[in-house]
Amino acid sequence: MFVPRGNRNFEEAVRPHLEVLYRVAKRITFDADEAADVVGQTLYQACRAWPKFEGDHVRSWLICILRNEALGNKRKRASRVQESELSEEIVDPQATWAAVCNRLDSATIVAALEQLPIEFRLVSVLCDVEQLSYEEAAEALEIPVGTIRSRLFRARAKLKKILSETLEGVQ
Amino acid sequence: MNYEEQLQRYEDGDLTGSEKAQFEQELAQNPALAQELASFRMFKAALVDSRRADDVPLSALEAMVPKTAKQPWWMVPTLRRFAVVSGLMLLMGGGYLGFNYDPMRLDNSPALAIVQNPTPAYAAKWVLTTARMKTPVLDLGELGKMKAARCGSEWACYDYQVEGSEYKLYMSPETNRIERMSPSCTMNDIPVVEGRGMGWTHCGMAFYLKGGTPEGRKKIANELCGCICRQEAKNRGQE
Repeated sequence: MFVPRGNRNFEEAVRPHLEVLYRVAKRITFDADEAADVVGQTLYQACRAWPKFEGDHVRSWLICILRNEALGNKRKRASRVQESELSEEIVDPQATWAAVCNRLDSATIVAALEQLPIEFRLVSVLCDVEQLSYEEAAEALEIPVGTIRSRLFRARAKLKKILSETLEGVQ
Repeated sequence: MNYEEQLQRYEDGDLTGSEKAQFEQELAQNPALAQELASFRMFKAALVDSRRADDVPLSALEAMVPKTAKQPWWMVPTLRRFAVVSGLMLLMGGGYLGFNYDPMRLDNSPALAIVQNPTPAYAAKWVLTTARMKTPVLDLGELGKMKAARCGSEWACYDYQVEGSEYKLYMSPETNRIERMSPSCTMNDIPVVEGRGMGWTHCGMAFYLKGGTPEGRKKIANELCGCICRQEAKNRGQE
């Protein structure tokens, strides 16, 4: 979401994004209490950094802080998977969207999202669930737009595979 | 670019004009591809709909938004100049005007985050996670109730209400200001200094209680020092 520069009030600027922050935190932590704690830490850090913030996308900036808070420096480093490793994800050419789209419910999707590796999960959550543009997601995850594009494609393919296997198991 | 990638980029609005026109031509001629596009749209809609799986505790999150981040009046350029001039005049005339400087005051920076009506245990946990400052659980019990917990840069504060008066207990790792003053009494073996408020240090943390009445402060400081000592003894026992 674009917020014009100038005299922006922190409280007014962050309030519309609280729900997004919480959902993203929950997709990272898998725990409601921990997600709320992470949002609290994010708001505190964001408030301290607010006078220096000069960007246009408050939501991306907040998500970037949240991601760093949630993963911590150690886990963040561990999760910086080489792009070449991510490229080796297998896309199942047999599975079609038609095969998975008819019987999807929210709980099934959330369970499938939680099986994705963290960087795929975040791209999918930001772009597909929270509807951020590629540019906003790139800012939030501190990676190039081209990487978002390719990672999103593979995240969807992996999600399709997980969902088709899940739905096959149910049948 | 394969069909799958084209389909997704088309739906995401990421194709160039000519690529889009070519894909739409293909769509018109290929019912299977059109069906797959429709299914992909359903899949994306289901992903957006999955937001409903999370019960967002919005009021709790809103309570965590720092309340004092508005640009303070002294940061507004015109008022700032006025404040600087007034400050200098006050400083110069302070001695004559009986300007009451409080050397024990821990910090003047604004609060960055606040939580209302917490339990003492929750307040300690909240300060730990929000400001990463380890503070004791300071429960006044029957004496009074905690009304709020606040965090600033390198400080935290608990607001208490005791017998109709408000008291604030500031905590900070900056202990010099209190340590360089002479204690006037001890409470539970902790040396306590007195000024406009009551201050003491313990385990590398400074505590400064202000507000209310001098009698009330003494009573509360005594209770808090007892609380700190009991917790320390308990922690030692656990070790």
